Amino acid sequence: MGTVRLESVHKAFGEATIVDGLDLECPDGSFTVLVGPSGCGKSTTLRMIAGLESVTSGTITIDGTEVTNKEPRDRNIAMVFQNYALYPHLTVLENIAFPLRATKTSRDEARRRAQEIADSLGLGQLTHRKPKELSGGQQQRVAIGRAIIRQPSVFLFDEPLSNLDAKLRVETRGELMAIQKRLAITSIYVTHDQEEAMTMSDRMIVMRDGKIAQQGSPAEVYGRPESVFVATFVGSPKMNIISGVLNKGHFASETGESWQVETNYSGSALLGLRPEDLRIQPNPSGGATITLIELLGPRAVVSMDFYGNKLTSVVASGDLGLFSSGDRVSIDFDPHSAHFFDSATEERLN
Amino acid sequence: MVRQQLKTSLRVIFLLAALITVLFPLVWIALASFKTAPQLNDPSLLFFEPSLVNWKFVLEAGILQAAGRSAFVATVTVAISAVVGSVAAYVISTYKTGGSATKFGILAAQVLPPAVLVFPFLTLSYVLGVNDTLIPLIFAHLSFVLPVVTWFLIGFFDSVPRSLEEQARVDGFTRFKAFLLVVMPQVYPGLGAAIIFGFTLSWNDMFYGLILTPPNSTILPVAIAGFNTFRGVELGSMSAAILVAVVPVVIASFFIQKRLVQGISGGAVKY
Amino acid sequence: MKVNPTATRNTSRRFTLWMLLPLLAVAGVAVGLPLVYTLYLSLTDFSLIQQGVAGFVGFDNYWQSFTNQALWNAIGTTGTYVFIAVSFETAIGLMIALALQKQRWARDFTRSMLLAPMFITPIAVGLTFRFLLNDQLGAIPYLLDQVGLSYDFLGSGNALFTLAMIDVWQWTPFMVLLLLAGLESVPKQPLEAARVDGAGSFYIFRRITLPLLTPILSVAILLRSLDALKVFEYVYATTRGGPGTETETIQYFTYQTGIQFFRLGEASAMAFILLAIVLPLIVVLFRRLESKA
Repeated sequence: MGTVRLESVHKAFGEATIVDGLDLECPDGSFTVLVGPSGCGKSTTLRMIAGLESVTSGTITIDGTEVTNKEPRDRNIAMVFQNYALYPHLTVLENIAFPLRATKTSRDEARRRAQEIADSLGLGQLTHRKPKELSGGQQQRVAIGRAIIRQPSVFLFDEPLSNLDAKLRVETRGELMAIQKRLAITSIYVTHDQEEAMTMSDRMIVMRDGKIAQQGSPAEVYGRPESVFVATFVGSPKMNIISGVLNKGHFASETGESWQVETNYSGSALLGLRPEDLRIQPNPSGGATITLIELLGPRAVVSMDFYGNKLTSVVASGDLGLFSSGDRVSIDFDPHSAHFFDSATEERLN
Repeated sequence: MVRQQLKTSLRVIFLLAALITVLFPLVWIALASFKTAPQLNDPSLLFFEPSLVNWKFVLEAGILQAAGRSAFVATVTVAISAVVGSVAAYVISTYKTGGSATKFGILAAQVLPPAVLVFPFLTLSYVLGVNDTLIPLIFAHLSFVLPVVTWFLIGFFDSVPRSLEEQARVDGFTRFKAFLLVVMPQVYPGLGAAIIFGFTLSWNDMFYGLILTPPNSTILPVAIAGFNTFRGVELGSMSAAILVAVVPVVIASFFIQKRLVQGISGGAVKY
Repeated sequence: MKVNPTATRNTSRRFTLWMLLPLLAVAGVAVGLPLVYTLYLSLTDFSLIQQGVAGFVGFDNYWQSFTNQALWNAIGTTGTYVFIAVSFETAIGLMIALALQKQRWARDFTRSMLLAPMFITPIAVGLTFRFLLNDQLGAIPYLLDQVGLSYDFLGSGNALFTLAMIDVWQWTPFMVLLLLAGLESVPKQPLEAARVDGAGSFYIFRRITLPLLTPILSVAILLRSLDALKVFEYVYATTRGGPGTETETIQYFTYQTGIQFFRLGEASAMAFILLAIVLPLIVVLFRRLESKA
């Protein structure tokens, strides 16, 4: 139904390529997140799906109909912007009802439906207020209400939570996901926050320089990153990368340490270890020196210096007694949890 | 502490002096409009029996008709400017239509000395046979009011976030509807100020009025100039005529002061 | 990377052009057409007396104007006028703006009152002052006389200065308006920091406020100067160019040549020379305004 498909979508401004031959498909009812660093083309892609940016080449299909050259209003989509774009001169009720003015819906019917939606979002008492009298969270819900009322095929979100403070962001995240599940409308969500992407998406699409670096479920992207870029972008604290050489089931770091591994590859490689997979033991002749310990409640992040590289390990708070800043530790890991990447191409080996 | 008080007193005195300088001529004229000819000969006369003879004279001489013509020309000019200017200012601001050249042209047109344009208006009005109507004057006024209104509005449109229009387009509206229903309402206050300012500019013009209107059915500022002789009674009537021109505009000015600066600088300065 | 304005697609191009069309149409008729026609007139010996018989004289009018001492006098007179008027307006305007900014009570009312003069039709201002400064009927000579002073306001040597002062009366409020806005937009932190560091008021003003005010100050001065160049009504109301040609400003001189002497061709050429002088100022003004946006 509300399937969104992009085929070879290309966007260039003069000499600069913003989006480079993108192919992606969002199944009906799914929650897809486009995530990536600044300038990767995720917002431009979203805007092309919305019809706010023209497509240099390629096609965009929504619900089986090609919409590549259609105006936004003909695409049956709804969009929530980063700053919510609420109409300052209209009340909450009028804001929510506004999209229906473009249809043949009667004024009364529009108000009725808007009131219903307002109530369902907890805004029932605020319908006569103007946007500037609302809190950030309330404004966001008005924006969502306005998006819902047209019963679109696709929801588009452009970093809608960036303007909220951290605590509110987490709460609203949950609310958004619940609404999406309930309405089962295909949603495409853009963010630069990988944590948001991980927690909210069914499918995560990591973008870089206008191309897709990797797409898949959050578990797939987190568990089997296909490149160093994706490996270090997704997951906080960042994955540790150690360069060295693989040879006959052993990985030897440039600095002389060696560990047993389970892979047949040989040659120079980059070893990737998630902080939670990097185990440390106090060892006076260990290769790493602890530089910083940050307590995060049940866990702690231990930062180390390993021959000039910064490594992090996540340790249970209960074990903190063993470590102090300045101690030397040795590093170990379960071979199953090791990620290996080619030194030259930075792509996954195992 | 004493130093502060001294500073404050000096400041208050200074502002008071400025106020007096501003109000003095206006009060003088107001008083003069109620003086009879012999009373006018005595500049020191402050308290006197007010007389309406000047006002009667001025009304009979057709000052209200002149004012009416001024109002008519100003209203038509401003109406056209508001409509044409709004749509143009919107695309110039949002889509950068016409680029710098258009903006420069608009600025240049506002500050163009009337001497440059008046003769063609005169000649054309004769050639087209409309020299005894107010049409040439309306076009002459459009030549500076339209750019001013557009310039004001560009500045105001600049401060409306782009996402509002995009949201409206996504919500199901055409570009024009999005402009009309969502963007325009945001600039209504600025439009109001621009309209009042444009009206004032047209109302106050004398140069074009002097040259382009027929002598017997002219506009207000020219009519005022017509009282410019020094036979005693004319001075009083001149004062009355001046008040007719001045009072409405000064009152209107109180309403637009805040937005005036943003408009004049084309949005470069917010107040 | 900033998201660029909506890239041009066919629909957006059409839309923007249609929206711009009315402006182009009206401006074309109200400004473009007369401008071109003035150019044409300036190349003819058109005179309202002999209508319809306009011989092409090429650049004769321009040459005539160029070598016309009277025109250069007018330019000089106007330049002097503008310089005197705008200088006073800037200085006094700044002082009033500073005072108003610090004022607590009755501030809005005072400001509204002080701004009134700029909305009055200039001919009325000119005539008012003609009246006020008149020997027999005016209040000011009377008051001066009470303290034993006498001054020939519109006499030889004084007239231009007097007219400039009329300009100052009417247009200082304009400077006040713009400078007040400029002062409001000067960030407070640097000033407070300087105060904390022990700087005196005048020092703060000279070293911090004034430099920060320079952008709006230059815009205000340019706008006011461009406007003052057009001075006509004050001359028409009081001296009609006299005594002699002491107050013959460009706009008045052009008016005389075209309307009183009917030499439209010549007047048109003069108008274009005026335009040539004004255009560089407009370019400077434009650059300054655009750089702040």
